[in-house]
Amino acid sequence: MHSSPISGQHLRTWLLLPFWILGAIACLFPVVWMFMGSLKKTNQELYDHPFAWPQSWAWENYAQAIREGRMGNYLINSLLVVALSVLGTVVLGVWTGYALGKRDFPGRTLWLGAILLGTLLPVQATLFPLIRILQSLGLHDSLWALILAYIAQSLPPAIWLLAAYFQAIPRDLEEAARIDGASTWRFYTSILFPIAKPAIATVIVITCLNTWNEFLLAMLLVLDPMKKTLPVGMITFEAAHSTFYPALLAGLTLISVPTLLIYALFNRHVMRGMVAGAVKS
Amino acid sequence: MSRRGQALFFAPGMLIFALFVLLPATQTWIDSLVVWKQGRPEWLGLGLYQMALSDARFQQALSSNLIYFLWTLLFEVGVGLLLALGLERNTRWNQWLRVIFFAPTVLSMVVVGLVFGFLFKDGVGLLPGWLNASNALLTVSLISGWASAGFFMVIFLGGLAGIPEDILEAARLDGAGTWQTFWFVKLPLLREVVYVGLLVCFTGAFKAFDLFWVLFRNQEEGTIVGTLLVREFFQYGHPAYGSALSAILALVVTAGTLLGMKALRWSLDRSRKSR
Repeated sequence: MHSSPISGQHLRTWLLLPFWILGAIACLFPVVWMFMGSLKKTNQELYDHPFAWPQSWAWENYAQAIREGRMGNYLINSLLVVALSVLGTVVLGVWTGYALGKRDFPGRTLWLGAILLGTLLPVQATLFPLIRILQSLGLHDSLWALILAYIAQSLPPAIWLLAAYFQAIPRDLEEAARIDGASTWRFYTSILFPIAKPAIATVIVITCLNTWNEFLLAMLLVLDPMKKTLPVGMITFEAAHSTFYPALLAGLTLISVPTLLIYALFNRHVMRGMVAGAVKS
Repeated sequence: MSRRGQALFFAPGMLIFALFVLLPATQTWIDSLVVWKQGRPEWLGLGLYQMALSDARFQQALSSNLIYFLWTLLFEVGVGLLLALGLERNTRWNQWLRVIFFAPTVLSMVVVGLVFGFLFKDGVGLLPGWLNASNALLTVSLISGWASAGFFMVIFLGGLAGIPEDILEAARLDGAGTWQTFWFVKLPLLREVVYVGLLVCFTGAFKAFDLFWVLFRNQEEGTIVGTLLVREFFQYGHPAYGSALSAILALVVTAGTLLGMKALRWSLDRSRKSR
């Protein structure tokens, strides 16, 4: 019997199946190992039985990470920094992006060129003078330093996305708002934001993930051990307790759970948002 | 709405961007050209740049960046393209696999670095010795591939979704096999997305910091420009030299990206004319 093209296709799918399953396992293994390891009693159990379920669930590792590793403290700092950075980026991004979305905005090409340059520049290009500028403003070594730096870093891609979004929608927004008797203030504070909802969602996704995970600026702008964010705090914890891995893995799990949870809930939006943020133009 | 109102709402975002990105970036350039001695500026010109070019440590770091870029081209872009081609059809099973392969992208590089550091730890880890001098760069690249291949997969999936169905249908009717369809039909149509992928990979390889810092904190090997400049500034006590290295890194990344964008535009124009 001749095989039809459909069954040939099926055969190939079945032949490739083990490959895909292996790939998926390889992809998930480090994350699962981290989580399982965070519940194991000893280093021995962690390394002698890497593929095994924990013998008993040692939740006290999390208590240790929070108590000795100060992960609870870092968590609050991280939440505060991310929330304010996202808020600042969205509000300022919408305002500036709206202005640059107009074709007749004075100096538009120049502004957009500067913003494109800002998206291309590596953080390292601004690093050392940034510390000096923040020092002279009296903000160095505070969470505000981080928040301002994160807003400044997140704004270029946000403005770029929002300007493109506003440019694509019909131009009589302001006209309509004026006819309805809205003031300039009301237009910018309550009418503009709902219009840009889809683009704002993308900006929120990118800014949340990038600031939650950011390490270089967080390490250099904040020195006070009580003001560190999670990734930097985790490195401090690791340096101080580098011998008991299950507690360290508990700390790592604490950092990862929020982003993984958001990803599990909104995976399509996150995928689209992250890629849109990087691809931009 | 008034002109003044418009400027008023445009300004704050631009101000923050200018104050915390453009101003310090400019200052980095100045710091790499001028040095302050006893309160007086002294013009160095390109002295620090010449120093960098003949500095064995910098050469080593820059070549590490380059090798890392080439490896990640394979492990991030190449693997990402393969994943996208394999999971192109919108079946339920493929959608699950896409979600799984993209998942590592949302993790902090600090988490990725520490977890793999523990896995590769000498003595206790599952794969001890992988982070040693001889294969350090290959291992970091593999770890990067694990963390980012899914990201490139999504970029390529976006490109593949944009290929019109009737073109593929025509190729099939002409008797083109899977490989021929990929090479002669899909890849030329994916050119723009492939360029974007290459640029993202290139900038990522030169901007890299977190993974290298976490994995090689106390090691000389695995030093790249991004980590070297921080060490020069804070640990070795050469802030001016650190600034020069930052400026070089910024130049490499922006010049590389702008050239890449030019090349893309040029090749798109050419193919449009030939059509």
